[in-house]
Amino acid sequence: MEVTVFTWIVALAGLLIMGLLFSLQFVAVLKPRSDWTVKNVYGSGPSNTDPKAFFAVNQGYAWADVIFWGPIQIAGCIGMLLGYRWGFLLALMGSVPFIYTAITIFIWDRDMGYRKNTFNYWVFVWSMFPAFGLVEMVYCFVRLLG
Amino acid sequence: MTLLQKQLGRFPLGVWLAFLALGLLCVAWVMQGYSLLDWDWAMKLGFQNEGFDGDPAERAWALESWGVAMADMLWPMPVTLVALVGMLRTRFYGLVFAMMAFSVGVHFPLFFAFQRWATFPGFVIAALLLFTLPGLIGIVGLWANYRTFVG
Repeated sequence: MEVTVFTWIVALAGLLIMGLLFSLQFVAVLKPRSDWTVKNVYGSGPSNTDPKAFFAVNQGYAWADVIFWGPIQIAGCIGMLLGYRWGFLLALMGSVPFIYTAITIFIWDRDMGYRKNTFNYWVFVWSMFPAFGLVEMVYCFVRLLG
Repeated sequence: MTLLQKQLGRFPLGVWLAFLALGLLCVAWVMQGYSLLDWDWAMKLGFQNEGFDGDPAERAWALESWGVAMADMLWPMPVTLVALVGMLRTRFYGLVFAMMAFSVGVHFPLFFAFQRWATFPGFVIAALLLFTLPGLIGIVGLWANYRTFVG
């Protein structure tokens, strides 16, 4: 498939965003209860709820992202840049959890009182991921069906 | 790949397996949708494990499960339905939507597994066997029969 300027933009943004998320989740897998992980990956402490449940919830996402989501997103972006159809398909599949997890995190943060009404929270912690997922999904969908 | 491309009636075997995986996902979405309507009965029926009246740990799990159920209704459930319609009509968008549905179908049992392995190993194994494994087989089955949906 033809690799356009927009392919480069979407794929590089995907590699950057997933690279960041994958790295953070990988640290969470390696050091699940370290202070750095709690502060920078989970983004909130276990004080609002049962600590066992808090760590288990976050660890579930960390492992699943490292094992499945991260690899298909990264492989998809590389495949897109190489012009392979499977790359666009994998990137499309990788875009779906961006929106899915944004809904679950939106509800979890609201119910647990972790939500912060700050620019940093709404832009960088929350909406950056589903916004990119939506752009990637539409782009890959259009290219595949085109 | 050759086995997955073997024609069995209207579709090749790989596509039938993808239909089966989508059907299993539909069962999951029905269970999740019912849970949102009546959580207590959903617990009695075994659709959910944790209630909102328990200790802080159980309440936290119930809230997390409620969020996942809501997400399932808003996003992968409609995607799965479009996938089924598109695949039945042998349209390419059916394959694309099915791959999107399988993405969630593989991902959600994985994070469920790593969250609940210590507390509900039986449910974890069931989720992996009913959704992740068929989802992965569905992905391979559809990819092997890509041309069925092109043109």
